Amino acid sequence: MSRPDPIRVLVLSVVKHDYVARGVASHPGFELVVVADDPDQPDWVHERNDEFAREHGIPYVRDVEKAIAEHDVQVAVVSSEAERHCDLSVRAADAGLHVIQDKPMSNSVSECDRVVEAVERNNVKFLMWNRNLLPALVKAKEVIDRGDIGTPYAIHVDFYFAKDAGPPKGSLGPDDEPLDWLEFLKAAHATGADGGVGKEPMGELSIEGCYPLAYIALLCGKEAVRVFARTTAHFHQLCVDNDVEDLATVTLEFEDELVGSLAIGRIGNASHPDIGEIKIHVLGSKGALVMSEARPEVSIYYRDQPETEFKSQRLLAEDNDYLLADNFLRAIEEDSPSILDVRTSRNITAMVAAAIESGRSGKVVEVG
Amino acid sequence: MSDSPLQLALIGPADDLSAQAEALRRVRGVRVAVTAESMDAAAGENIEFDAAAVDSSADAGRAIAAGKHVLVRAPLADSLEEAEALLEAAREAGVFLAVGGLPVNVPANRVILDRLSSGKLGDPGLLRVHCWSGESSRSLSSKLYGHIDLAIRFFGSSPAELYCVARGDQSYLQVHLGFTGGGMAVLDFSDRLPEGQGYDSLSMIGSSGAAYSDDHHNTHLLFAGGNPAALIDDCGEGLVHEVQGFVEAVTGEETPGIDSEVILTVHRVLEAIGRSSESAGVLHDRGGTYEPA
Repeated sequence: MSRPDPIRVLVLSVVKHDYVARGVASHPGFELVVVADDPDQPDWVHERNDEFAREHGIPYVRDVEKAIAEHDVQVAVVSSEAERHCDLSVRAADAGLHVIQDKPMSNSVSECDRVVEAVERNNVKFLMWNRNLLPALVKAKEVIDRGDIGTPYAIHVDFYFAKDAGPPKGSLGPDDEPLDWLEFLKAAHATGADGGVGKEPMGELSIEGCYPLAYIALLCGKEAVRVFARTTAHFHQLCVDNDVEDLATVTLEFEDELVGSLAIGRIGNASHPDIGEIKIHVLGSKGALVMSEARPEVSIYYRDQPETEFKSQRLLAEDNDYLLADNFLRAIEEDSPSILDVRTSRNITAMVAAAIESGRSGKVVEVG
Repeated sequence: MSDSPLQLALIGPADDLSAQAEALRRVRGVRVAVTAESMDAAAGENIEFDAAAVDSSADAGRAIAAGKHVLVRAPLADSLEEAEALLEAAREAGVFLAVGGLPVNVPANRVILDRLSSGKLGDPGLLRVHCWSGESSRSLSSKLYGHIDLAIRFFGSSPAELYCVARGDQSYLQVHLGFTGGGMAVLDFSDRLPEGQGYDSLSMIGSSGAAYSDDHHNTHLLFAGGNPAALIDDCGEGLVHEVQGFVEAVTGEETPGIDSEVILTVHRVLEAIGRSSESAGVLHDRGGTYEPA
């Protein structure tokens, strides 16, 4: 039996994480055919888009609508700066394309609402790239769905990235120039630590909060309606200078008895031997579950090992990319919801926005 | 320290006493003179002792009234008023009153506190605690005292603000603390695990380092058919360290490690947590009392 032709994919800006586009390309059901962006973008944006296109042997078109019109594409993969995510996704959806988008969905809930409206009006599929199909998450969902711990009544996620973000807090003098967010994040592209790249500074809740909140949505099928948060710039001068948090804790309250919490931070290279402690704790009416998101893993140590190399290597982690792409393919073919659909993604952004507001006000905030 | 050891009455449930007495053989300057299930029972033995290690506020009160130094298992009391009364009684009787059974004396937490105190972890940023058991019918103070004490010691101050969410008649409590300077703590306590082994997890994130202490890490596997069972190492409750500190404090060898101000601060925070859990409100420190914003 012959396979159907792969779905043709438009890479709609690839200035930040190229892992999303690469992840889609890892599935034989998809084929990257063109990279596109708006002509008025700065040179560094065009350079990154062009480099990715050349690496993949596909054209780079400096006109989004022209690329859509001329390349017979069915899916758009959006990985621009966060502030352009929603605009590009809306334009793709309005052109009838299914959309895969990098996180965060946006810094603005109203922008997310535009995407929800466009995706639903055009009857296209949407997937927010996520980590919900890592082996530990698949196992956790299996255990919970099987009823092994009964009905969950509390869920907690620790999500610490042991990465630096420039000089430590307090290391610059009062006469030093504040660190420029965009310039710093552009330079961080070399290490892949540029998740917050864009003109608008973003704290850790915005940059990475999508992942742990998506775990909670996956495992409990619910979204918080009320939050209380503490936020601070505890580690990095970059975050102090740009008035965004690099450490946060959030109490999450749901419509029913379910309670949750999130502890999240960019805690610095010295604070963990690998990528960081990422754990999930779930309490249920019949028991409890403690999962390490990194497992299964293998530990490797050797003479002259580079300091930057993780000593514990995750196993099967790359399967997450393939499985996400496969999930999206099935969503398209079977008209089923994707594993992180547009409304859940929008609601996660609303939770993040409420947590940031709570951190600034010191008050409990209803999620909008 | 004088040549003669402090004579200690060990008071508590009969099942625990012999193991505790055996463990205390390692403590310098003390001798377990008598073990009993209550202060009244110990008094009935007609054996002289200088100090008592007790596990209830009622027996703490009796020991103070008898002029004995007291090490009482946390919490000192179930209310701030009761704690204040016991501390005042101890002061009037001229006896030393300390609170024991504290997580700060558990081996792992002593290491973490040492690294915080020496500055190796930098400024404390985030304390995360999960503390689950199948022990129901415990008071809020019994469940939370030790870890609130620990948070105050790790951050070096009482919380500036707090928020608590409770479920199931306080069988589940989730406490969110904020400290001056941006520090924060999230602690959850559940009484609803199935009967059997409990679970403890603690992490402390500082500005230049972090510490992780977790039953999940300290787990062995037992294969006896079917899915393997987890065997969790018992790292000890810190009893020996605690009693050693108590003895040295009583005999004047060391500055007391536990003082009345910390005890009262913990009780004030516990009282505020109780109010927050009932009103679902954020409370802020207003010079020693916690009030809504």
